[in-house]
Amino acid sequence: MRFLLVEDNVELGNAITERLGLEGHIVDWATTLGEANTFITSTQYQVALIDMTLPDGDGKTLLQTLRRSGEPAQSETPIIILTARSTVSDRVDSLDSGADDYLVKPFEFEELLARCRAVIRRKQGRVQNAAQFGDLSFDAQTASLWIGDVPISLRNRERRLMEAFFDAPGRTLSKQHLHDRLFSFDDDASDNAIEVYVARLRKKLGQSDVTIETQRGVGYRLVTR
Amino acid sequence: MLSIRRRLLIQLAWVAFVLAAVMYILGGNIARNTLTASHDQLLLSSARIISERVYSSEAGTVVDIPPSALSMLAEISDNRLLYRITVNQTVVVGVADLPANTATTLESGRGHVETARYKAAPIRLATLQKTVALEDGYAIVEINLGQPLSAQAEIIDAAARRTALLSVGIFILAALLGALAINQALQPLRRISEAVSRRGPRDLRQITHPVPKELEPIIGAINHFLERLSDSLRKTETFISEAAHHIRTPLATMRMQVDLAMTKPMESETQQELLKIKKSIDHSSRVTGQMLDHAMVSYRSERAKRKPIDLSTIIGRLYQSFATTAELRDIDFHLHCQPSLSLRGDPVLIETALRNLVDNALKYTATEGEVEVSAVQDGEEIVVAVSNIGINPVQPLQTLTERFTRGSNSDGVVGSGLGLTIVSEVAQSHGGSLRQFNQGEMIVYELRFAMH
Repeated sequence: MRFLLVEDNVELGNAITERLGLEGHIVDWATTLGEANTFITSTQYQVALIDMTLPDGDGKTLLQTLRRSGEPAQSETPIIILTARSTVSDRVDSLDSGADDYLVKPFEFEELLARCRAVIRRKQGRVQNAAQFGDLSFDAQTASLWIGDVPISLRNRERRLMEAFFDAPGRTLSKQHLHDRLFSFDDDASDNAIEVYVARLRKKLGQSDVTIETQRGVGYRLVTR
Repeated sequence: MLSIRRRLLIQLAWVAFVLAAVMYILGGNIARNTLTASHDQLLLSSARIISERVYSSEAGTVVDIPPSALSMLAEISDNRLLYRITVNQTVVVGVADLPANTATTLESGRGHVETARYKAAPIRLATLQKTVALEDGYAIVEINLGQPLSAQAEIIDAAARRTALLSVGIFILAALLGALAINQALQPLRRISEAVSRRGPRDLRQITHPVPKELEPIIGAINHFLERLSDSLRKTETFISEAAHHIRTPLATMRMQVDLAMTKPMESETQQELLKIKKSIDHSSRVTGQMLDHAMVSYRSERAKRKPIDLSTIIGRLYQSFATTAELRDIDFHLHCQPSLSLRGDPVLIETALRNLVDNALKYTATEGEVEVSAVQDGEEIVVAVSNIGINPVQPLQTLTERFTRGSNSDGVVGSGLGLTIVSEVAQSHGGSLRQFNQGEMIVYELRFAMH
C-alpha cells in the first residue's frame, strides 16, 4: 500500500515510516502542510495519515483540500487523523471535517493497521487486486475474504492465519511458523491454539472448494479439494 | 465584623436617642421657664392691683384687697398665698416674717420676682414698691406676694411627663423610619448578593446589575477580579490540553519505537524489558487521557450547558470507533440501540462518560470475550448498559468510583482508576445514576438518565 504520512515530529514520523516499511508498505512522509500539498497533487494514496497540529497550519485544511478535490481518486482517499488531543470535541470535529477515522496518540501499530484496513474496506467495497486460490479471493490490504461472490467475515487471528496461507498457497506451513504469525510475544497462547484457529477457519470455508489440510507432525497447508 | 445594616441601625438609634433626650431636656426647660414667667407676671399683676387699693382713711392707711386680685393665683394652686404690705417700712397687714426683697434698688411701680425661702420651703416672691400719695404726704408702699414653688412643680412635673412620653414616641418613630431607610438603601447590595449567591461555583460572568454610584468601584473591582479568575481558568484548560499534547506526542514516538525494536531479533530478556516499557507507556497515556477527561468533566459539569442530545447517534459513533479495538482482540462486540433516543444534557460529557464505560469494559474483558452495549427507553428514563464478562469478580461500585482506585481485577491490565469516577460524576451532574450488577456471568454497568 502507498501511505501519505503528514507528521511534523521527526522521531515519530521516522518510526511510523520504518514500521510500515517493514510490512512492505511505501510511505511518503511530509512534515508540513506545504509538502503534503505537493505530494497529493502528484500521487494517489491508499490511505492518508494526518497529524492535526502542523507547524504551518491545521491538519484540517489538508483534509478539506483533499475532500474538495475534483479528482475522485483524491477526494475519496481514506483519511485517518492522528491526534494528541483526545477530547470528544476534537474527535467529533475531525470526523465532521471529513476524516474517516481518528487515532489518539500514542497508538499501537497493530491498531493503526487495523484502522487502515477498516477505512479502506469501508471506502472501496469490492477490491480489484485480491489474490485468488480455488474459488477464494483474499485481499490482504483490507482483510476481506470471499467464497465466489459471498463475503466471509474474519476475526483478527483468523485473518492473520488466512494471510499466512495466502502468502504460500499449497505449501506446508509448520505449527511454529503459524504460531509466530498469529501471536505476538506478549500473547499468552496455549499449545493447541493453532488447532483451534485452524478448526474455526475450516468451518468458515465450509462451502468453498478450498480447505486446510493437516500434515500430521509437520503442519498445515491450503489445498483445493 | 458587624453588618453594615446593624452598624447603621445602632448609629441611627444613638442619634434618635440623643435627639429625644435633648428634646426632653429642652422641653422641660421651656415649660419651666414659661410657667415661671407667667407665674411671675401673675404675682406682679396681683401685687399691682393690690398696690392701687392702698389709701388713707380715718382709721389710718387702709388696704382693700379685692378678691379678684388673688383668685387668679388660686387657680395655679390651692396652696396658701402669702402676702405682706408695708407702708414706709411699717407692716400694715400680712405675714410679718416674710423674707425681704434682696434686690438693692427697686424703681417705683416696677416689680421684681425672685425665689426665696420661707420656713425652709422655697417660694416665689414678688415685690412691688410704689409711691402713693396719702393724706399725710407721700409714702412708699411695698407689696410682697409669695406662693410656694411646690405649686409650680406639680405643673412642671405633669409637663415633664408629657414631654417624656413624646420623646419616647419620637425615639421609636425615628428608629423605625431609620430602619426602613436603611433597608431601602441596602436593597441594591442585597440584590447583588442574592444574584451572586445563586451562581454555581464556576459561573464567572460579570456582575451587570444596576448599582448605586457608591457601589460602582466595589463592583468594578469584583468584576475585574472575576475576569482575571476566568482568564486563569481558561489558561488552565488550555494548559491541560497543551500538556496532553506535549506528553502524548513523545509517548507515541516511544511506543512506535518500542514496536519497531520488537520486530528485530533479540534476546528474550531484552524483549521482556521492551514489553515492560510498552506497558508503562500505555499506562502513562491512559492516565493522561483520563486526567484530561476528568478535568474537563469537573469543569463542564458546573457550567450546565444543557441541550437536546441525539443519544442514538452518539452511541452509534462510539460503537464504530471502538469496533476496531474490539476486533483486534477478537472480542464479540454488540450494539443494541433503540433508534432516535434523545435526552437533555451536555453532549460532550455524555459521550465522555459512555466512552470511558465502553473503554473500561473492553479493557477488562479477556481476548475472545464479549462486550455488549445497549440503550433503551424505560418509561421516562433512558437506560444505557455496558456489560462484559469480566476477568475477575466485581468490586463494590463505591470503591471503584473513588479517584485513582482500581479494581483488584486490574492485574496486568493498564488503567488509571479514574474511568468510573468520570462516569459517576457525569451521571450525577445530569441527575442520573450509575449502577453495577451481575447478570449471569456478565458484569453490567447501567447508566440511567431522565429524558427531560
